[in-house]
Amino acid sequence: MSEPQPKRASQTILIVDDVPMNRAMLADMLGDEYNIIEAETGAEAVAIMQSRGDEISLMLLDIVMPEMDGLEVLAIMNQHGHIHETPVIMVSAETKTSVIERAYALGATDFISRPFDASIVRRRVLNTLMLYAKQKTLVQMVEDQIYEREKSVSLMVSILSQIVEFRNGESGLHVLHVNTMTELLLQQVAKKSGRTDLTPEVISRIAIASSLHDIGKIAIPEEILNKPGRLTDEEFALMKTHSAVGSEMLKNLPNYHHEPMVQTAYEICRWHHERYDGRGYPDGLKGDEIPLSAQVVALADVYDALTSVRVYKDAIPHEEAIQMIVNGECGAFDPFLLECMTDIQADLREQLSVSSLSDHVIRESKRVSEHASQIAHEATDDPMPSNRTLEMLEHERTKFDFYATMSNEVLFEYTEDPPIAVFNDWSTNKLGLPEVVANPYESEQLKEVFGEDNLEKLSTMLRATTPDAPIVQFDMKGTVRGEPRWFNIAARAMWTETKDGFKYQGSIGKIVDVHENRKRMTALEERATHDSLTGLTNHDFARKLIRERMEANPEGKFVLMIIDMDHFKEANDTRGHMFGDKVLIQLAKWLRDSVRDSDVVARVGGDEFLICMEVEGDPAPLIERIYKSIPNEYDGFPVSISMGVASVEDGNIPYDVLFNQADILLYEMKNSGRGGYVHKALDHAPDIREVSTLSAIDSNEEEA
Amino acid sequence: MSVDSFYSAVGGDAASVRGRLMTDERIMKFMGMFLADPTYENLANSLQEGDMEAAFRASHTLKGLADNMGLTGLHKAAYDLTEALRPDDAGAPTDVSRVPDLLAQVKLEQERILAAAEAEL
Repeated sequence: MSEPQPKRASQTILIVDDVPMNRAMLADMLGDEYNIIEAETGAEAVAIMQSRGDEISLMLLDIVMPEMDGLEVLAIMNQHGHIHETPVIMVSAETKTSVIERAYALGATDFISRPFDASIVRRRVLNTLMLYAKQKTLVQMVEDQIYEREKSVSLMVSILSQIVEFRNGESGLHVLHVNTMTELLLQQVAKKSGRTDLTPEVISRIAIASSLHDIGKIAIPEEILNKPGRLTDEEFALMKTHSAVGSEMLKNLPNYHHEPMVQTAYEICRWHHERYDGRGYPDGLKGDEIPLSAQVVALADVYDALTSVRVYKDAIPHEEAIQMIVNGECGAFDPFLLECMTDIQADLREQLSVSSLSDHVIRESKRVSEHASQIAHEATDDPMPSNRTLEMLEHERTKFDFYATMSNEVLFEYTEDPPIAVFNDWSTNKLGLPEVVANPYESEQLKEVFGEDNLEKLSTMLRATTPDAPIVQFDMKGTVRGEPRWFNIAARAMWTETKDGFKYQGSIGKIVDVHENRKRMTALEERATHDSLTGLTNHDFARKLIRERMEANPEGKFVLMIIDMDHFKEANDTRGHMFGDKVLIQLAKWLRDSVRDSDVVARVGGDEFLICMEVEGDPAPLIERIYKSIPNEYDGFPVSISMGVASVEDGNIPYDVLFNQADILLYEMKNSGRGGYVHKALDHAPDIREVSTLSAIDSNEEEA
Repeated sequence: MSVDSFYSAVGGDAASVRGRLMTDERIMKFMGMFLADPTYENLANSLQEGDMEAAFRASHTLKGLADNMGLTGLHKAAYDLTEALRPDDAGAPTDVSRVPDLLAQVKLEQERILAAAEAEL
């Protein structure tokens, strides 16, 4: 076999060093034959290993670095198993033997000391890559060979047993059922007894060999095999020879009779009709004289015979069959084996009821590949996942990234230990964030984009979740490249169960840009609640606002003013509608400027406006001031206003009453000559009669 | 081009550097980076602020950089300073009394290099 050559163009090397010059020097020496990734801190290196460790063929790691040093990086790589997949070469000016030894103990593959020598750096890196590539190739080869071998054995056995079944006039399912049940029973025996000799390999061998238990029937005349009625003593005696005949066939196999598979099949063929109490055939073996393989197949054979339809009987239900066997109605079995069967009866029923041929094939290939990969890894003493798994993961990640990009979503993953957040590619261009952020809750960049309080809120909310309800979601305002933007954030806390209860491990989540939607919503809302000409709130919305304030403060002393522009029609008539609009806009501005921001100023319609304020003490000076604040001229047009003002002196007066009152007072003012205001303080809600006659009451009136 | 005259002025080992870095072009490139590198300033500042841990790291870095560039005198001085600053089991510098003298030595070497660079490169 030729030495495997690593494909150098596709090899990625991660250089971890806090000094830029050192990274530059190493990168330069390695040249462009490799993809180089650089990490400035230990934390960044760990984050890269977490997120894309499978891409990294080799790591060059400095020892002395601030915060997380190289030894700590190695320790974390041990914790997460990366050290088994990615070789690490230490590069350091460190000369202290104890430190270097510690690095080796933590799994470092090699050590390059200063001063750097270009040819040494290249040679060491290449050697290490070759070594690892060779090992990976070997693991893959062993796996593939085992897989191929087991698959072909399994295939041959299936064909052979199908022939026997066919001749027996059975469907082929009997062999599969016996095979499945044998395997399940043996797994339970291994688990319950702790027997170390029942390795997955042995169990698999017995299960495959179980398919051959009836090959001896090939020598039994067909009319006896398929006789519908009861067999005569003579016929039964002939039938019983099938176990001895089958085993003889195997024993006489030229060349192969020493193969473990053939020997196992021999035991099963010969002794699957023996019984624990010594009353079986052909040899009358007793108790543990009967090999375990044969005992298990015997039990599986009996069970399947009971639960299947035969020419002479109907199928017996699962529970009843188990009961009959346990009661000893089908011959004696090892009590421990019966216990194992009872333990797994639910599982048995499920597995055997779905056992169609295709299920069997799927189950079989899964089992074979699992087994193969286990053997391969045992052989090389390397717990790394196979390339197939890595390819699948890579595929999933590509898919995930693609969908994320298509849906304009920022995706993130956060681990608590070490505290690192990883964002997807798209996020990094979209938000201007690095892909990997160590200590994200401390990161100035994240604080800038998402806001410190939002980060804290997220952290608090996630930690307050439970494993049953781990999802949080909220809208937040962030900043992207200096511009405010709205996001919706949805995140899921990751909890793992430990012996001390559930532990928060981190979170995954997505951040969706909802800015445009939100802007549209805000615009719609604005349009629905505001007057388009003056920008003031409209009457409906003002009413809603004022009612809310009155409800929130029933004791409040509210003042409601309705303001009407005198002779406004003349502005339109003499200077045109455009000018009229300008006058209204100006008046709105004057009114707005005359009160506090928290007061409500609205355009009620036409040239009529409304102001509502909550005041302490006597409102009269305030009203006077507002009235006086309106200039008497705009762009050559004389400005004059009339106001009706109703205020709450005492008690709880509803908005509608207050508004009606102000409206009446305004008309009073208009009728009595314009250019002034009427104010009335109410100390209780006037009844209808009183309101209707109000124009006659002028005791509280005040002329400006 | 005066890699040789520069190295003879600072008492460095031009032959060894050339052997390791392969080309004069690369030596010039990294010497430029070395001259712009802030490690010496970091070291002096850390010592002034009394941050012994940071001073150890900076000294360690300087030692490595000097070694890589074949600056024998600076390497030796930084090496001694690093060992004096190396935290003992209690986390304190091993030999703090020698630090001022050793720092002066490092400073001398650093200045010599800067002067030679100005004159020769």
